[in-house]
Amino acid sequence: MELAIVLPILLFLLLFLINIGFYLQANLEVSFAAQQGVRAGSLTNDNDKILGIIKKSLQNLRDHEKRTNVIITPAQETARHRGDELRVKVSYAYPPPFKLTLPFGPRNNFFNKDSLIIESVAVARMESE
Amino acid sequence: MSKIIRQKKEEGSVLVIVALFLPVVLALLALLINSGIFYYIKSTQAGMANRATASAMSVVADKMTEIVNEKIKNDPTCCSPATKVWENLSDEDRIFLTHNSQFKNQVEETLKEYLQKNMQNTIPLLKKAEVKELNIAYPYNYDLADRFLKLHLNFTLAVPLVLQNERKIKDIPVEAESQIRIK
Repeated sequence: MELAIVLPILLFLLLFLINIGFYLQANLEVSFAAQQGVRAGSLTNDNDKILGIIKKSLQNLRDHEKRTNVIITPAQETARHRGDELRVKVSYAYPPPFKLTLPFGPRNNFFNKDSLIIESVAVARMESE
Repeated sequence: MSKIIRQKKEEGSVLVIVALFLPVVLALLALLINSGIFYYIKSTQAGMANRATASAMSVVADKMTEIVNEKIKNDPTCCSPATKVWENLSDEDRIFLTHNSQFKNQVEETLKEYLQKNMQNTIPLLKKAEVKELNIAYPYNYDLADRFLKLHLNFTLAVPLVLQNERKIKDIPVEAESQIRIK
């Protein structure tokens, strides 16, 4: 009887920890991808290379091709010159492995969504024309 | 003689044990999350610092190109296009690149600018983070024989912990280095 009361609380804590762990791991991978992308962009001034390296960095994430969005500013390669600022924004719609619905409290909690948007922006100075 | 057997009522003891240990479990949980965040910040901020130092170092590389281009403009035979840009630098040029205070300031300003730009775009948790004790060593370990010009960045990031009172701030040291070769 008592176990029936205690077990959901302990299970909730455990699933919460697992969710937080996966979320932070995805967050790290997204920020690493943005860093790699901006570095490649500042050295080569090639949008295909930026997108290619981001795709490669995110390959461990689930459905990364469908769930990832990359914004490069300035978007045109010809608009970027040596010394300019290059900005790469990577967004990933992260699907939490467990949906945690509480019998009480806010219905729309952090882990009760279909996906959480993880964003990372990296800025660097252009090193090539 | 009959024995009197006392029976203890043990129902509900699990609840008492859990209630007693719940603060301990929650404290451990807070500790785990805080240490996770500590390592998360450490790794993302190291990347941020690397981008800032690389951006600042590219100012030095651009200056080298500018010096050589200026030399070619004045005397087209001075430099060989077959050799690399930095091979055409004189010792005077190298002294300018490493010791000129105005140029040094320009490099340091670029570094600070890109550090700030990358800081603004991190997770919401770091919006409250502050850079303190910023040290820029330029040039770091410069030696003509060594022929490496290094830029060393060292700063402390003060981050408020999530599951603590905001007055409790954790100092996270971050370090980065970028180098360029002058041959």
